[in-house]
Amino acid sequence: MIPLMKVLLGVFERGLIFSLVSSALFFAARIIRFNDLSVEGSFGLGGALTALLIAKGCLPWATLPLTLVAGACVGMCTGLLHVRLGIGNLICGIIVATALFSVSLKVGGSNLALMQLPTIFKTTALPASALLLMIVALCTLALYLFLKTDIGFVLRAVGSNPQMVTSLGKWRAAYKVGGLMLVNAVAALAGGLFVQYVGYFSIWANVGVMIVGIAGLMLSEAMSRGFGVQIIAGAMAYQCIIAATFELNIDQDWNKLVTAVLIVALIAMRSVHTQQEDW
Amino acid sequence: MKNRSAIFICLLLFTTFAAMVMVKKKIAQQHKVRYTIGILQTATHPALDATRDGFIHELQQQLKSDVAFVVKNGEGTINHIYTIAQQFSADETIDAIFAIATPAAQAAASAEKEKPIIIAAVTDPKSLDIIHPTTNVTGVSDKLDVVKQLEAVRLFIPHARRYGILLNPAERNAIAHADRMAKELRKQNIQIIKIGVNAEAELPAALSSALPSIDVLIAPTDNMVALAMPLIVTLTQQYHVPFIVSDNLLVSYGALMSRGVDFELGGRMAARMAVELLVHKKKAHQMPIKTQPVEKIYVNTKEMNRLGLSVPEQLKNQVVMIDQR
Repeated sequence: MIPLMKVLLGVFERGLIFSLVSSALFFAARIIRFNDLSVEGSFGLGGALTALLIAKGCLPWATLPLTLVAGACVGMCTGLLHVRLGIGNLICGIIVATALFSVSLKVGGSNLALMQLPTIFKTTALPASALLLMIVALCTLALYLFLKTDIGFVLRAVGSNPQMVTSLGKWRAAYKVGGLMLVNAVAALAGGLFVQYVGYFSIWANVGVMIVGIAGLMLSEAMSRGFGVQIIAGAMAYQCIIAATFELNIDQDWNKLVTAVLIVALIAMRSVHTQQEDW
Repeated sequence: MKNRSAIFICLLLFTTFAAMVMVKKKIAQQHKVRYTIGILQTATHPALDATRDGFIHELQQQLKSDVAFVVKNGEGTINHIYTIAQQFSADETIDAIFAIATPAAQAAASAEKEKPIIIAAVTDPKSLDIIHPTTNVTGVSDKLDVVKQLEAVRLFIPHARRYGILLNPAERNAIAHADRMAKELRKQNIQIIKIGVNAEAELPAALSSALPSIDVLIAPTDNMVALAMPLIVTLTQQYHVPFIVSDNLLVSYGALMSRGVDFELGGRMAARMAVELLVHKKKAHQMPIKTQPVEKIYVNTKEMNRLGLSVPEQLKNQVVMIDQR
């Protein structure tokens, strides 16, 4: 039992961290309808910044709001590229993600170890899973309540019915940029939490984060559309799939194929009659 | 209805997963081999594969049927590598973890604090903050003897005045090596240009612009270089520039020479440390990290002839000639 519990605990904790990425992608893809690839870059930057600050002696808790700010700046860049220069969704994201690779490399180096340094998980008596649960539940709740406010409503209109935003007298471009700032802020927070969780920063950690976020999102939508607890459940389900792939003692070269097959099996339940999204 | 079937499938997946973990434990207990070692490999890569093979062969020679291995590969994804490390930590049948390369070493040290961890193919273990008086980590570092390496290069190609150092600036190992190389070369008043390439796709452009203006191209132990060997070799041969590598394995792929790291030897040395830890019950913190001895120089026969060079007298008895792969 104990090994199973330990493995599940790992799945639970990582699922929580990456559910923030899935939430961010939910806002990007479903709310403001902007497929934002710079989320990967924000994740990396959040991590790099957290590692650098902790190495310089900053309080671990203080790094969390700072990652939100950093992510917001990234979102602003992506947004401004889009609304001011008219660059398309995907290209904006790619440009910013590419630029952020260099920025993260300069900020955190290629690798920064936090093994003996304080992190939020070492400074409290609570176990890591409880702490993560609190933080992620708080963020998810905040985002959920935000969607119910007037600003949240306009943000949804930006994606689904842009003309209405203008007819309401709101500045559509500003809301789009604001939405992207929110998306990247949450992703940066996830990156910071990940670095504190594993205890080191690696420039390669943000490769593939988009896939993890999207897969979590799709799995949550297979359960129930909309925003809520299912996002967290979807992210955990994906981490479960990854863990399951490694439990199978197969030729290691097939790992990624097995992961793909397991995802397809779960998503195949999605009815073909529902509205087709890009992903 | 759709939602319910989705939740049902999720529960099914969960139960299957739980069953897999429990059954695996049952099977392991029935066929319990004396020592089971979990090998966590960072990525598929000639050097790391050689480390793994060296480790496995040496242990099989020493412990014969008393040892079993569980080999898992994270394929370069940090999250997966950490997942595997955590699974090894949770698995009670695994007695020790062998972590190959920096990401694996970090993940293993982060996830497991008690079982012994042996690392290999890590250039600078000290900077990872995992070595301290109560550590459970020990192993082999692939720190290069840059002075000896450059000495050999200078004897081979004495008239070279401009060196190009090719590396991926995102790899910590590579940067550390490159900086030491640059420092040594500057002492000899040799001009250096650093060619930083983040992805294989950028290599042709970067090399085509740098190769015409350098006499020698040298690369530290770098994963990108290792994986892009055919591409780099094609270009260096086109421009008649000698290509020096730091991973002895790569000489057979077309580089001129190497006096660097023998990853298979690293694996073997790590295996001997594993025997000390498991059989002789030594503690990891009693065993400092070992570095590899650098004696032999590996030279590619075809490349040497193509460039019109020959083995210098002083190095004759240290040189091992390698055939092109």
